[in-house]
Amino acid sequence: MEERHRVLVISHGHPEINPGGGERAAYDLFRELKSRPGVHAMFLARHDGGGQNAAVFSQFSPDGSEVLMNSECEFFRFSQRDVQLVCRDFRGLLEWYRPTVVHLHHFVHLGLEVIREIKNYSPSVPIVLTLHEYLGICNNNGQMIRTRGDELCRRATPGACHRCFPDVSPQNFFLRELFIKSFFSLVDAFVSPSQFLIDRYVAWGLPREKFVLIENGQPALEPAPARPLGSSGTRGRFAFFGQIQRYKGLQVLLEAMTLLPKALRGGLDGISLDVHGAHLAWQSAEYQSAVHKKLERTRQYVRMHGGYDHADVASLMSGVDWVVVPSIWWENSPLVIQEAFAHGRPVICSDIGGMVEKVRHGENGLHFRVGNAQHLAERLVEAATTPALWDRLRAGIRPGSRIRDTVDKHLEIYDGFSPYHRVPVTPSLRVV
Amino acid sequence: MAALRCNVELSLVLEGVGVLVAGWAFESRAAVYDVALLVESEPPIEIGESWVRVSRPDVVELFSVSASDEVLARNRDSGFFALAAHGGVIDPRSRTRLLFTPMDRGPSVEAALSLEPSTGPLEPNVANYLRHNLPALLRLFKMHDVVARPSVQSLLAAVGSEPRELDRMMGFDPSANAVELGIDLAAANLDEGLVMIGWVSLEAERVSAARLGNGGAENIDVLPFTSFLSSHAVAGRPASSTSFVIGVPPAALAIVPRRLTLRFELTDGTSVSTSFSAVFGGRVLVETASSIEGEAWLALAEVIEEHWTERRAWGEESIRKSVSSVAKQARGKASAMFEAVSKSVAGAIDYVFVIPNRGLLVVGWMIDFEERVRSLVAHWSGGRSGDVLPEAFRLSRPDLVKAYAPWSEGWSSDRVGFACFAPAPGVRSDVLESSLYFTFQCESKVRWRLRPLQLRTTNGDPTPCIREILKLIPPEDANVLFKHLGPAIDGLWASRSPRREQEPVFEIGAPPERPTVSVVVPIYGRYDLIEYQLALFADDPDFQGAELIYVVDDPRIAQLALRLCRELFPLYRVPCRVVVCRRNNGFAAANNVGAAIARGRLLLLLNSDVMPIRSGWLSELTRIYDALRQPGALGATLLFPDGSVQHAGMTFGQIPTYPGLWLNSHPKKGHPNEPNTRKGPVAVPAVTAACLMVERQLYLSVGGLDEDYILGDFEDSDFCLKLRAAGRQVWYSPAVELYHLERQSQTLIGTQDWRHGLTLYNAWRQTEKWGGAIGKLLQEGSSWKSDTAS
Repeated sequence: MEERHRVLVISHGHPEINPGGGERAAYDLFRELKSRPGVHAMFLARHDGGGQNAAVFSQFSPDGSEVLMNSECEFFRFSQRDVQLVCRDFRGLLEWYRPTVVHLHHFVHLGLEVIREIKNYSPSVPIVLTLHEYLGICNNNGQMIRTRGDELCRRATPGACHRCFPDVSPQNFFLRELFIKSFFSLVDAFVSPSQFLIDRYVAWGLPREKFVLIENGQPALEPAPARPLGSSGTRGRFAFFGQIQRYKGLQVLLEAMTLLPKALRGGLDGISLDVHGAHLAWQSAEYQSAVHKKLERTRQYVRMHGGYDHADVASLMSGVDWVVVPSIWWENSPLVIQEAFAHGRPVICSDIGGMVEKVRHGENGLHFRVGNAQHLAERLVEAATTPALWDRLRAGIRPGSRIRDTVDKHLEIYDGFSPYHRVPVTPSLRVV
Repeated sequence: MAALRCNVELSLVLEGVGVLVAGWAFESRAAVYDVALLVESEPPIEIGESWVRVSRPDVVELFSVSASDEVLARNRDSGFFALAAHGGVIDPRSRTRLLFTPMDRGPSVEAALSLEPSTGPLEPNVANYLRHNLPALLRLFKMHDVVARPSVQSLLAAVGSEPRELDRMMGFDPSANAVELGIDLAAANLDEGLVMIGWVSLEAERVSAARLGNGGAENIDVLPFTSFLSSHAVAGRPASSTSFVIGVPPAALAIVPRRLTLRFELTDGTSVSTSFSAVFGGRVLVETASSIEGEAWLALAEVIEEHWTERRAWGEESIRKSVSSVAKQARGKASAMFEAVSKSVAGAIDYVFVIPNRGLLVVGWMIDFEERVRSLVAHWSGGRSGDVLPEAFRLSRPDLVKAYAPWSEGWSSDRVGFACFAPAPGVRSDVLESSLYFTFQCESKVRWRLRPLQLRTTNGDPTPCIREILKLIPPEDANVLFKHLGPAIDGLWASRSPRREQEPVFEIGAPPERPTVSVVVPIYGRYDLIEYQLALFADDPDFQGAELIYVVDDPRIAQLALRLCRELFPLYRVPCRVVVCRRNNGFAAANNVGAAIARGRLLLLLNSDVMPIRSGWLSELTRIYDALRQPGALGATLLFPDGSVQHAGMTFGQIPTYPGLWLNSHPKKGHPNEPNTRKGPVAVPAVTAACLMVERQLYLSVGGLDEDYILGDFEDSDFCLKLRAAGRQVWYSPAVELYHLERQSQTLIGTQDWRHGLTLYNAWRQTEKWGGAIGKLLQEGSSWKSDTAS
């Protein structure tokens, strides 16, 4: 069969080594592409060198289609300081594999320079870049929240960034922006799983016409059954899934649990919470002790389960009615919302950013004012005590997109590039 | 967690000495604490600063999880030994706490402790603890001067250390330790030198040398100038002490530092020393010395007389006379002595900067509110200056006001400092170094002769001198700038050794042989800007045809910058030439060096912090330049990162605080960059060299940028004035826009930064050179504003 595309999928990690949403999405894309007729795909994942051979590259899968690349970059402007690694080693891999499309899921660890080297290799090979958070815009882990007070940031400017990081001058923030944009200007299409992220990057100065909105599709799965209710039970069981770190807002949810009316704390007709989340021990001592203090106060009706295996999500879901996403940052397209919907669980989330795009208030979930524990507590009470609300919101959940659909849309992008694709190189650098 | 965590591991009552406390204190806030021992029914015993700190890796380990690296590093020596001095009896059963009170009024921290008597055998673990920390323990006892006390001796014995071993560890001899040395009074008078009066607790015969140091290289044997007086009892001194008077004449004392150390070396090979501050001026001496006894004064008079006898050879008859009269009076009425010598006059020459072939810049001070001093003249072998006082600029000297308190309370001004440029054509550094001195001439033939405390000469690179001058003499007004700083700095800068014409050039990639434009970018300091420029030039086809020249004008970073260009070429593929200067020549010279090797018909001078907004700007600028009538210089619109205007042409202006001084100004700076409907080039008085296009031949024919401005300032406006003088015009293009990351310009008010002084100096130079032309240009005024190219 004629080979339509040779797609090099590049990821900042291999999900079997670095489990994470971005890595998983990149790998799922590669696996599905590889299964399509007429498409040859290769997966290049960065790793930190531990446990592999001494060469820059090492084979990960027996068939040679999954390769690891040993690299690290600096994290202010994501520059790969080892130019040889890019211009000799990475270039060698391009020449060997001869991709017709390069799809990058991220640029951290690898360094932005790989983007330019793809163009050096061949200006006619289109570059697609999937953006997972606001790293290009924001130096605070790409979260777009302020370093002090967890205030939400609506627009990054050299002056505003300098106020978040007083050690870095506004001039250097401006240079960072110019530098990052000089590479982004070489990208032919940006993929984003949320409209919110597109709007943020367009406001930052990237051209809207280069963006395509594609949901991260989920593998097909058997939905967990609804939790059976006893004769007098209500829909009062809530769950938190995900990593425990302050941006994810578990502290807001626990605070809300302490504010519940006494009568509703636990019991068959009351409210309880299951926390499924790892990495609490990686957080600061103050954060840990604040969480432990709240857990102590609510131990009658809050259960802390720790980390979980992705394969167990269905069974964990079967014991709960609602999923709460209390993030205090904007989010992009949280995997936990997709999973909750896949299992027919309505979602209660903060009323900002990528979350409200996926969860519509009164349709398939409820919103509360971000960071506001009192308001969240009211929502929890409303959710647990309003008759038939759960059933109505559950019925409002639309089926999410599947990996199959996602990859179809990606192939549409690849097909859209002409065989002799040439990129008009006119960097558009002006700050909007 | 509290900011301070403390654990007291040991507390021993030492009879007649106090309480020895040991343990650790781990402090996370970098606060300063008052520490006191609270013993039940006793007033608090201040411990103050007399701790001895010891390294405690175990404590660092203890906090290594919860504390930041910075806090851990600060607390490496968290162990302490402290002595709460208490001469009386302390009941070991008293309830006792150690109290830490932060100076910034944060919460106090307490540690409870249970006292133990030190008499009798020590518990083995306590003995071990002390033995392990013996050096710290001894340091503490030495600090409190209690080594010889019986309770301390018995503790040390119980710890099990040999006295000999102790001595070896401490490097002191317990018997010599008993020697004490004190200074009652130390004063330096302008011309008499330094006088010290003090006592030492042994017989004069045991002193083998007396050395005076200032903490630096100065180390003078002052024994020849020392007179020991007979022993006599004085309250507050050891009974067997011997008083002494030391009078060091100025000839033996090149510099009179404020902080001095006097060390007596003893015949048994040990020594004793003390540190003290000297005050300056006769009046102060008299007032602080009022308690000195008659016998000491008498000895002092003898010392002074003896050394003045030597000075007769200098022919200073008047001084000799006044000294004899001092001695006479000292015998009768001691307190009048120094009045007669210096009365109300004091002064010094702090610095002389030699301006080769041109003169001297003199910086000093003079207290003369009764206006007795008639002239101040510099003398050197074969020449002398005029009186520098009439022209001198008066400097504020708050440090002297402080040093002379309480006398200075009566002064009418703190402007007792002065600075003056004294012209002396043809003067040479070596002659001045060997023979320069100054005379202060008073009424009635009284004359003082002084050597400058610091004589500064340059050795090819005058920059350090210029920096020092601008720090010492803030250019507070136009007068000091025009009369003193301007001529002095101008002369210094002119004396620098000439730069090399040829510097090594490295080719990276294949720069074009016959380019239209050569882009010259000087690099100083931040060479990382090269990477940003290359990343932003990489996709602009103009830069494949242009000749990009980086002139690295900074030997510190030359190799790094060259290496960076080489490393990045495979990625960005922008060919360039790199000139590596073997010394820092300044902005103008760097551009000239680049222009000298450039091959293009046109030059574009570009700063390393100018960044393109879009591709094609260089060819656009070229097209506009080639269409100009009378093409001279063409600039671009430069924008701040926020999009507001940084540069849209320059003009000249004056500010009220420096009348007559022409400064450059950037009209529209900081304004929003409004879309300009008239996109054609606009004639302006001058443009910045941050981005300036000019024909290469024209550039060379007017001599390029003037290298006599210092460190990158005004050479661009000067260059534009040169082009005008050659009949050319100056333009900027509103259509071509680039970013310029220029720092916010410094304000002309208030800052004492030397860089600010340099700007004023450069403005002075521009005014000297072009003042007339600028005035004329601005008078012609309105015509150029509306003039545009076809």
